[in-house]
Amino acid sequence: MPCYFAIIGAKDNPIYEAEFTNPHLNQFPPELKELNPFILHASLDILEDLQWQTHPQSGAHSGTNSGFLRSRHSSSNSNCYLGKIDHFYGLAITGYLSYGNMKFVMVHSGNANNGSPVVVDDVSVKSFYQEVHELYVKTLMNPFYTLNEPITSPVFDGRVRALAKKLLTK
Amino acid sequence: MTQDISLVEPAKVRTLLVPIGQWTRSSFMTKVGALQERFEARLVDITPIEDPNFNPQGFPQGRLLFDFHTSLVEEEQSLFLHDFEVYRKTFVVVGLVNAEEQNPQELLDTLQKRYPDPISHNLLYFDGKHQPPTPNVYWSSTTNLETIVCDIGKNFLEALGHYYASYKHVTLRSPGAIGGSSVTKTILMRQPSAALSSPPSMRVTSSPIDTSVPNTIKRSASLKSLSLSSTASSDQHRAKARQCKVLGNFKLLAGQYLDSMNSFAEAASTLHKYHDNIWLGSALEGLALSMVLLTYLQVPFQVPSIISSICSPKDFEIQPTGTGSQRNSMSSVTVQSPRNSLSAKSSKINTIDSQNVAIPLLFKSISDKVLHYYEMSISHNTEYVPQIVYCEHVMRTARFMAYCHSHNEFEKDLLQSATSSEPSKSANTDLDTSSSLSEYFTRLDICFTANKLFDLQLKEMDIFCQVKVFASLAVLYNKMGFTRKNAFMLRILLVSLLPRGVSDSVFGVLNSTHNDSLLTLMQTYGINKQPETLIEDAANCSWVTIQKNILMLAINLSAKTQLPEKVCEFSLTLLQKYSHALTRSEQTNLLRENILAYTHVNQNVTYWDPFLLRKLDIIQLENHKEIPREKCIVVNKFEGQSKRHSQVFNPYKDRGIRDLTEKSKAEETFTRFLLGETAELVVVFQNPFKFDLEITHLAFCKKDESIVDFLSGSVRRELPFTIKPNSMASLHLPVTFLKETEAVHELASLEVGVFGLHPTSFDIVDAERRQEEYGSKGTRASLDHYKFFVINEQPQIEFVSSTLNENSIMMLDGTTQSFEVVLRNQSLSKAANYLEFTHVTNVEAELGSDYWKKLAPDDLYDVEKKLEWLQKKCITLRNAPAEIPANSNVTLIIDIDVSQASFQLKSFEIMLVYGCKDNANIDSVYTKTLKVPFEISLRRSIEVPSLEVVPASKELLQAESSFLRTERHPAHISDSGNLVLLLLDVRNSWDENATVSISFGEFQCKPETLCSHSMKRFIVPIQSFHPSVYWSTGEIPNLVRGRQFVNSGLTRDQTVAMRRSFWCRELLMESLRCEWKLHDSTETCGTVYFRQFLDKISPRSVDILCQQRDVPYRVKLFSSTTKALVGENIRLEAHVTITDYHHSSDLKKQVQVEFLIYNRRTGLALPSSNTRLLYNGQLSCLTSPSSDYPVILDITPVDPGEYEVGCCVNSLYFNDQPVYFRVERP
Repeated sequence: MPCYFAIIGAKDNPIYEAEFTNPHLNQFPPELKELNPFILHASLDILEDLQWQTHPQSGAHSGTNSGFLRSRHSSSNSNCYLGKIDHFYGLAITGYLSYGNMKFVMVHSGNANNGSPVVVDDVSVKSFYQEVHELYVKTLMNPFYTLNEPITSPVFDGRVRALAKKLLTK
Repeated sequence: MTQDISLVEPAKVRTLLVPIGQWTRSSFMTKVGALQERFEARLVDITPIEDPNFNPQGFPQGRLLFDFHTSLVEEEQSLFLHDFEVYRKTFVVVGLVNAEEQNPQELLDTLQKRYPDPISHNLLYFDGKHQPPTPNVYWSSTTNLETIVCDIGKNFLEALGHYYASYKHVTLRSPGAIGGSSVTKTILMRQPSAALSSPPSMRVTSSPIDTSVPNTIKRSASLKSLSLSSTASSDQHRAKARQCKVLGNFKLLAGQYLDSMNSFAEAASTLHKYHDNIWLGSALEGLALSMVLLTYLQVPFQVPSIISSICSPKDFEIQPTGTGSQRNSMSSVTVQSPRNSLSAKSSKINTIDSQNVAIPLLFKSISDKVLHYYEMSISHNTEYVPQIVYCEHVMRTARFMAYCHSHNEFEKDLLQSATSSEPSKSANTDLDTSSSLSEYFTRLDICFTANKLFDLQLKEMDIFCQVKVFASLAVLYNKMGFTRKNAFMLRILLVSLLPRGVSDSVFGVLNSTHNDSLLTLMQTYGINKQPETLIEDAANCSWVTIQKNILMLAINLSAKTQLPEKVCEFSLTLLQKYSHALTRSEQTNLLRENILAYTHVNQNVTYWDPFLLRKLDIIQLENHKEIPREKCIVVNKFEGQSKRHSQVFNPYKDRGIRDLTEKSKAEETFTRFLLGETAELVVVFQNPFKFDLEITHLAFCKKDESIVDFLSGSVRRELPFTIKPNSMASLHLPVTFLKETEAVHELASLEVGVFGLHPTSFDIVDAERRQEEYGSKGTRASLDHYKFFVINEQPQIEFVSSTLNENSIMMLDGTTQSFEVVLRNQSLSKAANYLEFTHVTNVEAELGSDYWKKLAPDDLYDVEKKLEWLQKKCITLRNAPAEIPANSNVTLIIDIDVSQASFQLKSFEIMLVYGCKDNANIDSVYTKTLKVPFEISLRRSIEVPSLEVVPASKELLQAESSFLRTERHPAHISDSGNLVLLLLDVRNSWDENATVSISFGEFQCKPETLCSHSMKRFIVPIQSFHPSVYWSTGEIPNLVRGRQFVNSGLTRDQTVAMRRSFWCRELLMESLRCEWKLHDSTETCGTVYFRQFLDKISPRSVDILCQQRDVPYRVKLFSSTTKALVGENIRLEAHVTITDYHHSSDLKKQVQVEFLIYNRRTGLALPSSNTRLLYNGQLSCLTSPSSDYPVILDITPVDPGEYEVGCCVNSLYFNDQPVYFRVERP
């Protein structure tokens, strides 16, 4: 399934954008391609809402995670994954929030264009996010990289795409 | 048009307000606004009517809610829904009358004819005239608006009674059946089956957010669809139930909420039975609304049994003091109860009281059911739900949830539209937590509900419906504080308006609110930042793709709504801020079609890039008049200051890099221009865009214009000037200076017009400031200035002529000549009263500044003697003027004396530094320099190729033929011991014969005639010099002071020798004179300058010239004979004696005496072993100087010839007089 992935900085600025497609599968139709950033941007509202949730049951519907800030006692980043946070027509939007308030958001499109809702495989998507988070932290450690600046490193891009190929666009 | 879908819309009476008479739009809208504020009429205030159904007294707590609007657009496109959802019909027309003469009754008739559909027609007069009371006509001057609204309400209720009566016998058909194919069917994107067949791995995957209906209901639905084949009576039941539902709708409109609830409940239970899903949904919706309104009015009621039969009560019930066990038992009962055994359950469930119900949850669960029934109807051919109905229901539910989220209890704004109501958080929030509405739903829940809309194909809908849905969603999100979602919805809304098919009437209906929407979009997506000027905004990156997209949308929308100014404005923004994200064709299109095409509309459009002007420079032209330099003519003014530390040598002074940089910073360089001068202005423009940039106007700013301006017509010739895409280009224009400046003038900006737009002032932008260096504050451009100075007109002196042909002169070496030069001051007003004449020759010009460093002191003396003479004597100005008046000539007479000039002299320049002193006390003047070059070629005349010094031997002096005998000054040669002969070879290199007379001190040779190109030897007898201390200790003088010789590198002996040689030569120079006169017509005469011919004097000559020297030993040589035959013996004796000039300690006991034998003819030394003279043993031997014994050398000559023998001690001290002998053949 084609995906559109972006890392969003503190000022709603995209730090990294990528579209993961697979030549054997469907591509984003052009009109949707244009719309992807908007869909993603709009879902930031939900993500920010979820960020401050305190009631576990009212968090995102995925059972694996709940409020973000209650993660104090957990050392793993397993609760950064917010699961499916939004949908728009046939597209599903998943989110992941780093501890540094970087928002990792992805628009998933279905394989078929019949408008049936996308089924997101939480396990692989979550591990994709975690791996990218790790890559992002490595980028942060680069002394020549400043926070909230776009990531231009081709290495980062290449690795993220490799991850996507491995985990998402199977 | 209400952009918002009101929560209580089904309870609102649609009322059309029509202007009659003379209104201005604004005053009409004020009146409309005033009415919209008073939309509510309590039934208790309304006069009772007879009608049993709608008598206001039947439910005095109820309200009549009017929805005042001014447009019928929706009416037309929802006509097919009027039976199904009767509230969509416009029931009341109110004509607002102002300044209308017509009779009220006639007006009313006209209104009825014009609007036949509404059931109640009213007139409301706003002008002061009072007329006899007429039914349905009101005067706002006598009655207040509230009363009028109540009266209108009464009329409406009466009319409604009649209307309903006619409705009773109508067979109610579903909208799908009425509208046919034109009705937009609800198209669900998701397949209902998808929810059923969801994989078992549901737990790990995120389920779609709209939670699907529980499986049990699905199953029951399919069961019911099977049993749809109904009996004949079911149609009747169904029709009756539909009538009942419509009655409920009317009751709802009439404010009879309790009755309406009951009607809906009755209808619902029947419809449920007969699976009339679409009507059932609508009835349930009305039921839910009735209950909400009852709750709002705080009227207690009992939840109808139908509710608890189709929804599980545990979803919405509040257990007053319920324990866990109690609730469990309750829920277990409901769950276990079979759904179709309605009657069995009803008795128990009927008892649910409104007090025990959480209305928000109840509403939500009913709403879920409604959607469920609507969805079930989709598959049906005619009995399907129109999409707009479905959408509006979802919207109303979401709105209700949002309302609950932002309120603690139902307030009056529940009845108003969302746009006008502000969420009011009352102070008593915490007092009654149980009833607080805000707890029931989270924002996320609301979002999920609203997201249901995206399961539909909204694009298929009528544009009005789309606008309605998206606008409502936007308002909803905005209310919840989801600004990004709001923006997204607005964007979708605006995009949906773009297609060609969308008529302009939509925009008329939208009432230009889309412009506000655009502004919201700009705000949300951060387009209002100013990266072009502010550092902070430039450093922060933003989502360019989104921003560009939004701006393109804004442009397209503005173009569609024919707002050229807006098109222009947005295009400018896009081009200014996002040019890097645009392609070439996009940029060009924006420019040509959106900006330049609209410049006539918007006069304020100016060029948008502040980085247009990158550099400005004014260059002096090559052929310009010389620019005067400022010269300080007051000496010593600052000298004390600058030389303060000169006493102490500081090697680090002016050496540090910091010093250098500081100095260069402190020195402000600026150019000086003459008044009226023409110079070249170089302006560098930058074009960051992908199209050609055309400069169409260029001017100086007002304040600069008076000082510097373009030459007339030059700008017109150069413009329009095109700058290629993504490049910088420089424009060269001639400028002239118009006014003298008092101080340095700064050019900071230029007026530039681009593409024929209105010209504006652009600053010179030097560079971009980055956040790293300058912090995040301030503007991005670092500005530059061009500084210059305009000075007044100055005198201009030019060389007119000279008496020399082509300024060239040929002279014979050693002569003098003079010539005249004419100068003219060309200035008409300024006299040159500061004049300073200097001259420079090529000899000086070619010398390096460190010429003295490598020269020995004696050479240096020669060179500097020459330079001194060149400077002071060679060229002299006989009549230097003090002033050259304006516009006048002056003649200068210049003497040129080449008597001591070297042959290197090839050319010289007369330099005049001149200026005008306006004031005698002025410190500095502006000076200019006039240089007049002259060529000179020196020809050789009388030369002295060589000079030799020979000791005058006694033999010579005593020889019979000696010319010395005939000398006029015998006294001079009396002391033959000290006599030395100076042999001078004088050559005449010129073409004419010359008479040469040589003198040495008092001695004068006889003048001799030298033929052209011939040479003669002159012999001058001179007295040898007296040795003195002065020679070896006297330093070679320095002509230039203040030089520092670290070390000459010479030993002490070398120094002494050099000094001796130097002084010898100087003494010769002092006394030697040679004058000559040519035998030509002009009798040219001159002198010979010996210094340039005579080399340094060799040590041998020095020895000869100065015999009695300060030597410790003296050696004398004697020979036995002066003439000998071959084979005869000749004995040579050398006597070594010690002189007084020594310190005894210095003397060695033994000294070496050496004999030197020369061939007298050739002057060459014989080799130590030769075949001409035979001698015994060595030529050198040791002897003691104190002994009286001479050193003896016996020689036997073998070859005939003349020989000279010398002798030296320790190879240093030579004998004074050589010994000669001649060997002849026997």
